[in-house]
Amino acid sequence: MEGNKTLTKKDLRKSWFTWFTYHTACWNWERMQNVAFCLCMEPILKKVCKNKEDYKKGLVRHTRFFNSEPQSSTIIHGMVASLEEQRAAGADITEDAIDAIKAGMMGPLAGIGDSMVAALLNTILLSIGISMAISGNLLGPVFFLATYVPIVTFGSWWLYKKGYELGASSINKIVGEGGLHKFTEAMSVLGLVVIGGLTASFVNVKTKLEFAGEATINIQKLLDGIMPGLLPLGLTFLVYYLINKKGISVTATMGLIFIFGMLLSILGIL
Amino acid sequence: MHVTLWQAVLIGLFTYLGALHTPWLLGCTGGWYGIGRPLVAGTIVGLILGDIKTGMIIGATINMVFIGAITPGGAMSADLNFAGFVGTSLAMLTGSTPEMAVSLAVPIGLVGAFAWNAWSTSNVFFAHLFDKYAAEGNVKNMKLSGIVLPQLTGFAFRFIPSFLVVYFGGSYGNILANAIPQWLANALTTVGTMLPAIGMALLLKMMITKFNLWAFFLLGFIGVSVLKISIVPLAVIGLALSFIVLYLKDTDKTDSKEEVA
Repeated sequence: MEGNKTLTKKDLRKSWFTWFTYHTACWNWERMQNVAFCLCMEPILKKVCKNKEDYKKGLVRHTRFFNSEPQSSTIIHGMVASLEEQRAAGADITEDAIDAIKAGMMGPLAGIGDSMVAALLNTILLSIGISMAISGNLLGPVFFLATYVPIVTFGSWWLYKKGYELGASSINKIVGEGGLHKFTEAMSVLGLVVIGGLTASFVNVKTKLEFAGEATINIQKLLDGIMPGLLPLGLTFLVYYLINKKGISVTATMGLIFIFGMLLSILGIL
Repeated sequence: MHVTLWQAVLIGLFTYLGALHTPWLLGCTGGWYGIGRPLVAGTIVGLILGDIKTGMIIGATINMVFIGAITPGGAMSADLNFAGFVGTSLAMLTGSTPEMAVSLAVPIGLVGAFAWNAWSTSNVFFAHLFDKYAAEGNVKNMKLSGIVLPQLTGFAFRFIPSFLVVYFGGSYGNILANAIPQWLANALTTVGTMLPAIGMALLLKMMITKFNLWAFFLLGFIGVSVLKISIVPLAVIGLALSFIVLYLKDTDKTDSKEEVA
């Protein structure tokens, strides 16, 4: 027990790195990422708590449910580290307040993180890598790893530090003023343009239907004459409708595609 | 193509390293979101099996299906790490086309998701053990119950199924692959061209927060299908559009302020 000391950059980095590596090491259906959250607060509590009792109580408090996007939610961990430090120094911060901040932020940050980091950043870099790889360029996977991993690693540490610096005020700073909302929306514009492009290049359904008359009519050529990619676009809309509006699960949708795709292929339509 | 014991062991090992729960490669950043993406996984399998280019192309093709697959709240519908490593291995060993590989990879991904769910359930036990040590403030045993033990079971849940499927599936898969009639191979290929729609729909589900945003999806689609723009310049156009949106929002604000004044 070192007791009641101010946190150094080294402590913060240790706490962040523990989270960054072990976040899902004991992922469980009951409390999800709780074990890793507790482990990453351990070096912080050890440094700031006045006595062993507070330290143990702190550890137990952080075994409660936690789940967020692991790479980018580190702003929460940084903030909680700052709050624990202030609390140990005697500031009027209750355990409930710390719990509320964790619970209140993990949901929104999971949503933002899932769409910005896991979906958008990963997808854009990955799709560039994939389009290089499909044409046989071995730099495809290298490009992806060499961009994604450093961006996210440094980004995650930067967010942890920001969270620590801002302390409790940061929720209002981020969520307030509509700044983040505006940024998220602008980024989804980029994401949607790229997804549109990916849909056109990755979904490749074509019809084999032909009507033999005086001249053979090739339906695919007919469709391409209207607009190339009509079938892929239609299929994507249909799947979106099934998953999003009809609430059919992804696995069931995959099953449907298997059944109908095979049937239509056997019937000579696709 | 034939698989040796050591190749299957190596593939099993990488399947573990690229799993969502594996901490050793900078958490999920280098693991699940890094080498676990079928693009990279396929390349690694290609390297192990001695044909890096084929592995990479098969992996990249499998990756298209799963491109929108993230794991919100840990709810995994298909395990793309398993689909990437094991799917690419089987496709290479049976000499399948990349499109057929996609059809193979989807059910394999479901096996992986099952293994993940079983592991996450078993971890409830370790989490309770962890509670006990946290209450005692015993850091050494916290690490044992919260990292070492779940990683040992996690290794078993990843390594054993992937090793078995690659080693035995690779040996007997050839016989199976030769028995597949042409119509079935065609049908599997067709399914392979359709499945990426799921990945796209999942991304859309997350990104379309307002109806008007469909406009940008359509622009991107036309950009590639009709105008044949490749993906990097398309991303630059997208970036330009997002800055335009930001700019218009800012001018909106200043305009309304001026009116008030």
